[in-house]
This record gives sequence, C-alpha cells and structure tokens, in this order.
Amino acid sequence: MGTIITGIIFALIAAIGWGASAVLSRIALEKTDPRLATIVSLFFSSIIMFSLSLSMQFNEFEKLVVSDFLWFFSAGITSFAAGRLLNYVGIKNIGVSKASPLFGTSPLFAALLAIIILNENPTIMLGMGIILVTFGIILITKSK
Amino acid sequence: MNKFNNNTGKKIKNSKKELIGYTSSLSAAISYGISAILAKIIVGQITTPLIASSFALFFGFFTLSIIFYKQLMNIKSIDKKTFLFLFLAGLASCIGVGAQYYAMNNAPVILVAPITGANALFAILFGSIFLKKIEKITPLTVMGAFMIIIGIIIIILSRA
Repeated sequence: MGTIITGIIFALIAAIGWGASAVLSRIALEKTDPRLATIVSLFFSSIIMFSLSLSMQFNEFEKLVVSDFLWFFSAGITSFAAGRLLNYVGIKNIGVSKASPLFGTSPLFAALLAIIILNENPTIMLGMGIILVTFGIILITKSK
Repeated sequence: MNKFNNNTGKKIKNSKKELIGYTSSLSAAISYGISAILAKIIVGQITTPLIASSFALFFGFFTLSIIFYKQLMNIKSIDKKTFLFLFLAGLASCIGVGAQYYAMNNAPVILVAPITGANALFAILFGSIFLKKIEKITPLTVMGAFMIIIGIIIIILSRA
C-alpha cells in the first residue's frame, strides 16, 4: 500500500512537472524564437538527465553497445528534435491552454502505430477513446 | 475602407497563426507517438528509460544545433530572465520524466496513467494563474481538454 501511494505521489509530481514546463516555456517563448528556445531547453535538459543517470545508474552505461546509439538517435529526432520543436511552435502560436491538450493526444497516435507496426489488436475501448479525443480536438479548435 | 482592410488583414494573419499552431501541436503529438513506439523497444531490449532519455535528449540537441546553427548564433539576444525560464522549463520536464519512471516502478499503470495523462489540466490551471495577461482560457477549451484527457486515459488503459 505504501509503495502504491508513493507511486501516486510521483505520478502527480510528473503531471505537475509537465504542466509547469509548458507554462514556463510559454513565458520564455514570448521573447524568443521557438527554434532557439528548443535548442537551449534541450541543452539544459540533457545536462540534468545525464547528471541524474550518471549518479543513479552508472553501471548501466557499461552495458551499451555502438548499435544502441542508432536507437537513441532515432528517439532523439522524433521525441525531442521534432517533438519539442513542434510543441514550442504550437505553444507560441495558439497558447499553452490549447497546445497542451492537443500535444497530449500522442498516446492515441502511439496506439494507432502499435496496431500498424507491432500488430496490436484494436479494441472497443480504443475506439471510444478515439471518438472522445476527436470531439475534444474539435472543441478546442472551435474555441475563440 | 482602410480600417476594413486592416481588420481583414489581421483576421487572415490570426487564422494563419492558428493553423500553424494546431498543425504543429498535432504533428508534435504524432512525433511523440512514434517515439513512444521506439521507447517501448529501447526500454524492453536495450537500457533503462533514464539513460535512453539522456542520450535521446543529447542527440535532439545536437541535431537541432546543426540544422539551426544560424539561429544559434543569436543566442546572445536571449536575456537572462528568458534563459532562466528555459532552464526551469527543461528542469520541470526532466522532473516529469523522472517522476513518471518512479511512479511506474511503484504503482500499477491503471493508477499512474490517468494521473500523468492529466498534465494538460495542470498546464491550463497554471496558465490561468500565471499567464492571465497573455492568454485567454475559454470554457470550450477546458471542455475540449477534459474530453481529450478522458479519451487518452481510456486509450492508455485499453492497452495496459
């Protein structure tokens, strides 16, 4: 029970962290170009994450082989180079309140890609989720 | 006549800005969706999420620095306050990634996913408090966000 409560607290911290990150970047984007802002924020994020992983999981680094870096590179391009840059362009143009929920639809695309690439089975619940997300997107784009 | 032209010009400019914004946000979601598939393979077969995120962040930074080296030359134009906000944004996002990792280790996905999936609500909440001067949050936006979050929670739980 104790570990479950710890898990819930960390999940809340994660949600607050991402919410705060979107708002902080919105403030920074008022005065700077999204491309430059993405590069600077990725620079800081890399330093923080490397410090964390070196201090907590140093032994894991020894297990890496050269071919693993191709996977990291692909993830870096999709997740951070394209993902964060496009997210910042979205935040700058439509604001954090509209961009964040739209950006939050990524699990929907992951699910659709998993069906296509990983041959996962589509379910009725997935269909219900897609309908709700679609209506949500329509409502956000209609709000002035 | 001039006023009419100015208003029409503003409207066209605003709708173009909105179109860019919506397209970018949804493209970012697709891009993250692809990376989630890659992450599933990496974490399942190669290494831990923390190490994978560190290298992915570095490669993202490195690639954008090469592509946009001209913009990078203008780095001196960023004032200290903006730097601080970018640092804090990066820090908050890292806290998000790290905390999600520990949440998943301690509690089942069925509990963690709905909470982390609601991060957009926190963004709207913080936005309504700290961005009063630069952003207008409408009831329709909040309703849309709720529908997306519930839909996403259903999708995540259907795969858990």
